[in-house]
Amino acid sequence: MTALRVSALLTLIGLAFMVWSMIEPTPLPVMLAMSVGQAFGTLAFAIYLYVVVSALRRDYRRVRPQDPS
Amino acid sequence: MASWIIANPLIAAAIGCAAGSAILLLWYLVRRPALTHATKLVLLAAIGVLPLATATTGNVAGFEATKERRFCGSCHVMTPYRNDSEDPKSMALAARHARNALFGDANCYACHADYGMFGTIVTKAGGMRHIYEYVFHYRNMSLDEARETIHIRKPFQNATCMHCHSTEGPSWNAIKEHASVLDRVRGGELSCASEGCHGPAHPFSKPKPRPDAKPEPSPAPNLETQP
Repeated sequence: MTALRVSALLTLIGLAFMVWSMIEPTPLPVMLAMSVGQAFGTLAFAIYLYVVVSALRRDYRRVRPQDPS
Repeated sequence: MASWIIANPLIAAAIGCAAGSAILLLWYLVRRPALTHATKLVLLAAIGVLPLATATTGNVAGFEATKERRFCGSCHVMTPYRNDSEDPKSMALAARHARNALFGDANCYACHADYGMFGTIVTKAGGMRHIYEYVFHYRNMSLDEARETIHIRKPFQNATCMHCHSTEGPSWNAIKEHASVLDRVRGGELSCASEGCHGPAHPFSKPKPRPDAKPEPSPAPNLETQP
């Protein structure tokens, strides 16, 4: 859950960069949005996928009958 | 501000998606719900779908914004060029192009872009270089100093002019001065924007020194190359 909160915070920071670049389309905000902002967004989504896929696998193992061997 | 955002549907869509994502994320951070299927779906929208939509529309809007004169003029060293382009009385080549209703707000990009196969990429890469140079060399430079020091990196190509003025039209060739220098213009030996033809492109453009010219007693510093 902590990882997901970090992911949510990273997404908010990335979105802030992107919105800043649209409100003030000057070189620095545009470059930051297209580099740092998108890197934060991608990292956040990767964390989300990792957490959700891990949870799904855990659930799958729990539901699936154990192999007798 | 609000009217400008509403007038641009891409920016409005991007900001709308960002706002939706932010609301969902703040709800998640404040309420801290259990990780049920519903929460996972909400987070998929908040961390995946909506930010992706924001990034996509934001990128398109960003690329379009980089074509506008206000973007180029946001670096202070470009202020004189921007002011000249926006001066309705200026008869400089750049200013006259800025008054063209088809691309006037993007006149810097229209004339300085590369129109080759990978022209957009080459132009954007050149723009990255401009930002590097500005941040590390010209950021604190005075306008007077910048006007003397900053110069166009390579001679302005006639091919850029010929992107619109093909030199093939009868009205272009009907001008006897054009007809007499046609080969030299097409071959790039004579710049369209040279003094005596249609130049200087900007009031601050410095003439390219002629190879046969005698050196002056007190030569000027490395000035802007005549585009």
